[in-house]
Amino acid sequence: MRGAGDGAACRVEGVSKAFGAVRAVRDVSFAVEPGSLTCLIGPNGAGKSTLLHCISGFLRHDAGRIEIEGTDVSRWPAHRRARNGLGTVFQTTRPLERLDVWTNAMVGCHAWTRSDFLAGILRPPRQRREEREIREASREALALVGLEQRLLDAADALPIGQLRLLSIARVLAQRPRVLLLDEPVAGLRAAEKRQLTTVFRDLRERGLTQVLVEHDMQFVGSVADRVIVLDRGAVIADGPPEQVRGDERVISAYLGTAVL
Amino acid sequence: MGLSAMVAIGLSLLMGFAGQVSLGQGAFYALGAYAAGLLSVPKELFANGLGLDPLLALAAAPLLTATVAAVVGVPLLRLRGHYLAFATLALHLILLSVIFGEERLTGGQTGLIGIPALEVGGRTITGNLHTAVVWALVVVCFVIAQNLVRSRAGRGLQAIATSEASAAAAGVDVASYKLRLFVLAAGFAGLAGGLYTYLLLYLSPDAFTLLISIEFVVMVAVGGLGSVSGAVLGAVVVTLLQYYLQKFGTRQELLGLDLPIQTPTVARIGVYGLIFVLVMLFFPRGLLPAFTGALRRLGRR
Repeated sequence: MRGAGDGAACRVEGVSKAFGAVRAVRDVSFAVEPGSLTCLIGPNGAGKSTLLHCISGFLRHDAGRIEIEGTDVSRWPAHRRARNGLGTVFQTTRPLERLDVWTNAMVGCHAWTRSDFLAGILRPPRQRREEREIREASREALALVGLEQRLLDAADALPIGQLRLLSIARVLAQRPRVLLLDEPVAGLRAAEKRQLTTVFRDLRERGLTQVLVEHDMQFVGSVADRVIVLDRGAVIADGPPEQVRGDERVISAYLGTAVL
Repeated sequence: MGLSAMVAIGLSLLMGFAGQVSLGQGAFYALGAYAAGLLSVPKELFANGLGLDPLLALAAAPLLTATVAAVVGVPLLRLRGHYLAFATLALHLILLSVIFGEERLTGGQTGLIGIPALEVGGRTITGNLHTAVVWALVVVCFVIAQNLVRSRAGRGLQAIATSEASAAAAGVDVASYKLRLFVLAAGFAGLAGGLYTYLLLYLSPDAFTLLISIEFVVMVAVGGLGSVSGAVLGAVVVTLLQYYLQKFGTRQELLGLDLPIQTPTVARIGVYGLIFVLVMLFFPRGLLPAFTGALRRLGRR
């Protein structure tokens, strides 16, 4: 079995989620190996994003359990999961418009820093040290996605491709060990997609575990180690891209449209 | 003016940075005022007075107000947007009916008299000295707000204003952050209320109508959302405007014409509302951003 080892970065076990009578996710199980890049694909309404949000904690699953690095996080709120190494990038992440690119990335550092209201108001030396650390870490995160030239630009002045890069820099500033991304290349132009492909490959080289929900099959084929196909809330295929590509059930789920 | 500025600073944190509109800051202002009054009025003058040292009562006013905010904030802050605005407005209404209704506790319609003056080291703090103390405390509140905005917590709050979900995704405990800021803003309002008590040494419920809650929001919006100095500017502009409109309205005649007796009310509420509408139409981001924007454009030329 792929990724069934005990050292799984992320494990989903018998997870189900229903919205009223609609069973969006049905008894899904899989384990993601550390340092791998997994893509969740499937036709519209297959439950991909629902599953992703159950893992990130924005939806509470009805049954089953979710583990991150061996810890059961099923009952944790989203912000607690974020503080324990889980990074999530939404399909549409709006930046803090009034602030510059750098400050936007600093928001991500919230996950591993401690200074709270009182420290922010009184500014003891410990808080200032932490602020310096935050500035450094967020600058590094921006450099990873190639935005270090735009540190002081207003976030709302960025084109959509760079906004996407900014949201990825922000999540990298969180220093996540497991990264969840919901359709990271949707709506981007070819050049921007290529740039993001490089970013995801770099992150994979750095040992970051990534789980992506994605529609763009060309992109999936170029980055994924493993593809999990969902249809009507259940897993219908699971394996390396070349294997999934030939799977009959996958082809029929997509009703004969060219997959991968 | 300084008192309004203090409340407005707290509200600008709530509205301009964390995106939470509160129409109940007047309630916290009133709460601070009555707390200070009741704690310091001597028993001989008012049965439920505690006769504490005014300085102690003044220190207790923001703390008590903040405590109340911490309790009511838990259910209130589950509401968002307009719902939160109206629920906080309701809070003000409830407080007013308590002040009017519980006469034995609050003095009711007659008000609360016999409040002793604030005294520090043998000097009575009234008049200009009181104004100076108020503005010194405005500076303290300003620095607190400014530091908070530029800190990790401030960034977390601004992330909440943009999207609560994405703030939580960055590890921000959204509910707790909103509550803590609500408590801080209420504390500022409570302090301002306490200082108001020792300005007049008399409390009447008429000073705490619903209008003041709305005025605080107007001050923040007119001055400029998302800027602490904007809130101070807004408080100054709105207070001055009201003062002059009132003065103008009480004139007997204008350009040889007799003015009707309704003029003060029309001037105070009508003209003031009109000016607010005009500011929002022409400077939707507020006066301070409009002003600095104009300066920047001039500088570029």
